[in-house]
Amino acid sequence: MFSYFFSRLKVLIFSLFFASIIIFFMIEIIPGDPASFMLGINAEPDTINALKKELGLDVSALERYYNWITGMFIGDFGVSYTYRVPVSELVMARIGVSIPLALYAILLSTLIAIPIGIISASNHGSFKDWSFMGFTQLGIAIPNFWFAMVLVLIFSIYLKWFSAGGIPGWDEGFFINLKALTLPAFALALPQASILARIMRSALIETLSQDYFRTARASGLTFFQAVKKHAFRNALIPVLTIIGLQFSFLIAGAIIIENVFFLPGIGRLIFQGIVQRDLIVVESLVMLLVFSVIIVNFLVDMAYLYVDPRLRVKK
Amino acid sequence: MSILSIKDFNLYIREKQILHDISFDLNQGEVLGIAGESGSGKSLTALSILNLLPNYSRKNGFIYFDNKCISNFNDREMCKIRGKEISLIFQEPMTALNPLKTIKEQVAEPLMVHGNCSKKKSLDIATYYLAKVELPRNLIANNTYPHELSGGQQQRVLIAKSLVLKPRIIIADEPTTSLDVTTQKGILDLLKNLVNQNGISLLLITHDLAVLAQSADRVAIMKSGEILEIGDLKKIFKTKKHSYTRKLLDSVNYSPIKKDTASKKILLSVNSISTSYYNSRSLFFKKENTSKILNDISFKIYEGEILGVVGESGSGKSTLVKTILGLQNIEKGEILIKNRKVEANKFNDLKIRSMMQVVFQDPYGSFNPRHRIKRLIAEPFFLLNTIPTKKDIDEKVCLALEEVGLSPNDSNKFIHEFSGGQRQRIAIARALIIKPKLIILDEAVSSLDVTIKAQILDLLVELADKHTLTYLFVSHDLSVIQNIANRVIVIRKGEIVEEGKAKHVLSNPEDCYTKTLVEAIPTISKKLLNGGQIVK
Repeated sequence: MFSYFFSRLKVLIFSLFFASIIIFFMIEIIPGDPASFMLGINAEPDTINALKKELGLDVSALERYYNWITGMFIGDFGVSYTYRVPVSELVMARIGVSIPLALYAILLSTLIAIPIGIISASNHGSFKDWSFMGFTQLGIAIPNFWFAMVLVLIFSIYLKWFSAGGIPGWDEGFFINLKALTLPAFALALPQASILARIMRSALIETLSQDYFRTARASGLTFFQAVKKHAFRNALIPVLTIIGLQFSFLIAGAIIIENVFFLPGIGRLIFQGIVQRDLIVVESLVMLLVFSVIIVNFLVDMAYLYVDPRLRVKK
Repeated sequence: MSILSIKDFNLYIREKQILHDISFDLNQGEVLGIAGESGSGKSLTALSILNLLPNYSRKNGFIYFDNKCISNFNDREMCKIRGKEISLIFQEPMTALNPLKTIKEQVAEPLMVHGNCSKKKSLDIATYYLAKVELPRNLIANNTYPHELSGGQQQRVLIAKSLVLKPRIIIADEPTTSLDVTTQKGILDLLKNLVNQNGISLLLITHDLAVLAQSADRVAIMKSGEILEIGDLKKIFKTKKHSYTRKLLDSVNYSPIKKDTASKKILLSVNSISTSYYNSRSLFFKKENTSKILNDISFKIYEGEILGVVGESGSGKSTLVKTILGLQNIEKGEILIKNRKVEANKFNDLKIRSMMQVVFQDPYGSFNPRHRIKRLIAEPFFLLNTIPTKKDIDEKVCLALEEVGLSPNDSNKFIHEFSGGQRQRIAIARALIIKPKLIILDEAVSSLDVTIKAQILDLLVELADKHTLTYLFVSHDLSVIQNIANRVIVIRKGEIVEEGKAKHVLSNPEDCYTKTLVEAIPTISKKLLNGGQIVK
């Protein structure tokens, strides 16, 4: 059990290390010097050099990498070139939107997908199955920004149930924010739920044909008891993998949805950072995203341990 | 008094009739055996009783349990019978248990579903029954999961699970088929005792008449969905009224006799090889955590002989085959074929590879389903220095097909059009086509039905005599080896425990392990076949 934990932990640390190197040098080779970009084309070389020094751009790349990494350990992500505030402050302000949005979306997608997957698999080949799978096909095919606009059109403009965008901020109370995040979360969750439902369905169909399912039925469990007690947990293993992959997609993939709904999240910050050539912001945010992806996958690996006793090697 | 009675039962799957007018009675406390080849409808008969049939099936006829007609019960009513009154034991213990739950939970489950038993009480009863099926104590005490058990132990767990509610009937569908002979004996004895003690009726389904001869009171012989004859075991075995019954009885423990045609020339010599597996591998540290699979094994194969290799599963037989084929590294020792060294994973030495061909156990997994038979059989030609012309290849393929008893017209078919026995013939044709020096038969007949097995064994002997072939015949089944092999080596835990002339080793085993192997072979006593008393 511990050897599994440590082997996963090792993978986690090495992935983070390699990712940081790749991110740093990718940003490094992008043409354009932030200092001259900020000061405009008519700036004097002296001014540019002074600014470079202020931004810490005058030292070698290796040194900058070292400063960046060691800074990150103590929560110092550097200072944004354009906003002139620490990146950590920028991130903290926005993470309160992005993380709840991603969690909300993943919750919705799981809540939609798992019942659909179970119903389709239990009625494999029936009309119910066909129609559900038809809908999931649509869900995968529809781009989520378009779906977002349709949602706004229906629920904000015609029905006026939700506001079309923005978020009041967490000081204003939990439910009012949750309500504001509902439409974006739905828009994000739809394609994810469609994929997840299909995975759930095929994994469950597979387990329904396993011998242990037949054993369970032969010992007197009804079909749904047997699904609940035996098939579901076995089918969950591939589903967990996909949920892990989707979470990272939701954090990064929120860029477009955050723009559609005017949400001040990480996605919008990255977008602005790229447009304004605020490399330190981009660099740190990408690293942060990578970090969250790797952590989530690590957690998924740990969840396998809970679900599958075969990974818990004794002694 | 009959407790279960089936009358004129017919079953159709996708409108194809699978069972034809099945009628039989199972009496209180008796053991009724149902024998037949795969595809004879034995298992579907069992599933019909519990109404666990696949989708798209239609049935008519009557099934009475305890004088109630249960054939028109709905699923809810059937759930009250399944596991409580009638329980089932399946063929594959390895897959019949849920890998994610402890064995105790699984044994206790029927109690919680049927018996309104508290969880704690159910687990206590489960513990009691696990002890009753003679599972080692440490496995019962801990939270053991199925993957920590051997196949035989898993089958014991399933037997415990089928017993916890004290059912009136147990249906055991090939309960020992996938187990080793020694394990098989233990499981059968256990099942028989428990059934006797508790007055349970047992419906024992198997393809192996020798298993029935040791356990059943009455037998039913099934073929293509029909019961050919049914009656007292002694009477059926004695009269052999039906020609098919005779055929089945003849193929029990059948092993054709092979003349000893061994020459003095050494073909393959295995010189004290050892190999082990690493238990855990890590990215950066190579751990010295190893387990020995083969330990100092040496033997020779002479040209023209058949050498049998016997041992239980896990004894290292398959690893031995892999090392000889050069598919697995050896740590110590060397393997020479015709004085050329076999080196693992050195695939450019085509000369060595063309000298050896292999036939594997599973005829269903051994072929690429997308290639035609022609291409499958012609595959080994690339090993030759001069690849024959297309016309030559076609001719040779046709010849090979004829030799293994198939038609040249089959060369354009795909593998799914053939039965298991026919596929094994194709595998033999593929192994023969480049006339290799050595043919390795790795459990080549183990997954075949008794009658088919007999045919394939005959074919192997015929081909060996015709072309003076050399076989390395690996099997867990001593009865197969007994006559066909000239010499035999017995392997246990990666070491050779006995070696010698096959006849001698099997009739006078010296090593106690060989003795248990020999004793565990289920046989039908001569007396039974001639109508005397049953010797159990």
